[in-house]
Amino acid sequence: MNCTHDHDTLVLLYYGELTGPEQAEVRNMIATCASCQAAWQSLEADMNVIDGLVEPVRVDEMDVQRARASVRAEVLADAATTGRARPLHVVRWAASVAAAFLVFAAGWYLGAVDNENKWVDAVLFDANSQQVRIDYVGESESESSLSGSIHDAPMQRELGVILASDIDPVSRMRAARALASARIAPNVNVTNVLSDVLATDGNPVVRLQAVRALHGLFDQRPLPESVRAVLVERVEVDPNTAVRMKAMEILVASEQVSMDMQQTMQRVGSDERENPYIRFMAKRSLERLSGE
Amino acid sequence: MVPVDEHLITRAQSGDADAFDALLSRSDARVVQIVQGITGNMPDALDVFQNAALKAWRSLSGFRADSSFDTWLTRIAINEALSHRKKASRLRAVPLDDVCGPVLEEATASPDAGLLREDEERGLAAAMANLSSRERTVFTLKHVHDYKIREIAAMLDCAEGTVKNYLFRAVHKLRKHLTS
Repeated sequence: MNCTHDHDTLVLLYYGELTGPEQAEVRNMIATCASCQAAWQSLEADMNVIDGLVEPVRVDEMDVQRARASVRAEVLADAATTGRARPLHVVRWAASVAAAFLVFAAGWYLGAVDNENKWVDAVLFDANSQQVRIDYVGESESESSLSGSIHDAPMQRELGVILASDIDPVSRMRAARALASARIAPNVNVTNVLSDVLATDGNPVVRLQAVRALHGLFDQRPLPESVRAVLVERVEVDPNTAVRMKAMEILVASEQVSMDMQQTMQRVGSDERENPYIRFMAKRSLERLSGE
Repeated sequence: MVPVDEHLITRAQSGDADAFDALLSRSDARVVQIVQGITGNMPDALDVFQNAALKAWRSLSGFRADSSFDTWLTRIAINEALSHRKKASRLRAVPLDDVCGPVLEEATASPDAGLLREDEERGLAAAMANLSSRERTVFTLKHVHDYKIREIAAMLDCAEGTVKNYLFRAVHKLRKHLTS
């Protein structure tokens, strides 16, 4: 019994996952090797038993119909509020008009801010009520403020503008921290701003808050490819240990496997100069990815 | 992809709820079965299916035809079910009996045979419960639903080699349990 053949291949044979030539090779192996023959017979016998015990779960058609009806009701409500249920050319036309308006409005809005020469004095966020207050100071020291829920799109946009363009790192950090502490659902605009800030902001504290906010947004949710790519890049190149650590934590928790992530984990896990905790996380992730 | 699917997807992408419903109706029962294998009970599986279907509807504009609608929907549902299970496991342990659901005895079987089968089923349910979420998902997709490994890889967004590893480990653990 000095068989050195790979018996895992027998599982692939059983499930019909081998190509013609591979199948012929394995069948030949079974025919000529006593150990392989015994392993194949044992596998077939076990799988027959398992086959008899594992059955597809019975699904009540009425339950499924009810579930689908409920989805349909929400889909129709969605379509009514977003206008999706209109013919495609109308939607495209409306989208073009809306985009043009948004470009105009954004230009007007940013221009208005410049003209008034206001800048952010403070960003305050109450995690309990999820309310934000942004205090502005004008050139003449006149003060104004904007208050609202962090769940409102205009407030999220305002925080995004601060994050992306405010000259004061403390304001940017506070805007990111508000988003990190909020219980908001992921949306494209906030995600894009946070990803950009994480990838490009020169201040490590702002980047740390941005990566924390991304963690909050995608906790228990699949990471979009764009976010995953930024996190992988941060793990490799971010000069701040806390940022690399947080980015690593999100990637490991996501359990999303990809070639570039495996390569990054291998590099980071074997880098002696890297922080021991980050190396440990990289190794643990590799073990998970390889199913150990 | 068959042209009918393509036509339905285009209509659904332009906001046609009927077309989306038609697409869902082709996969719904099977997706619920797969999800039930992960969540461990039917009410949660139906909830997860609804959430996954809504997610699919809301991100339909981003759907590219590099996989079938069925594979894409199943992937969303599996991700949803895995995160649901993670959340649920923080709150409570899943009773082993619930993992595969009760299976009715055949009317013709003798009482002893019924008990024996029930015993074996409980044993296998326990072995299934000892698999990791990914191992159980891969095994169910392969063994019960007969998906190809490349399709499972697309659903789980991972390499085919990784799927094979999970499958080998699941089969090994279940067989070990049978012989113990």
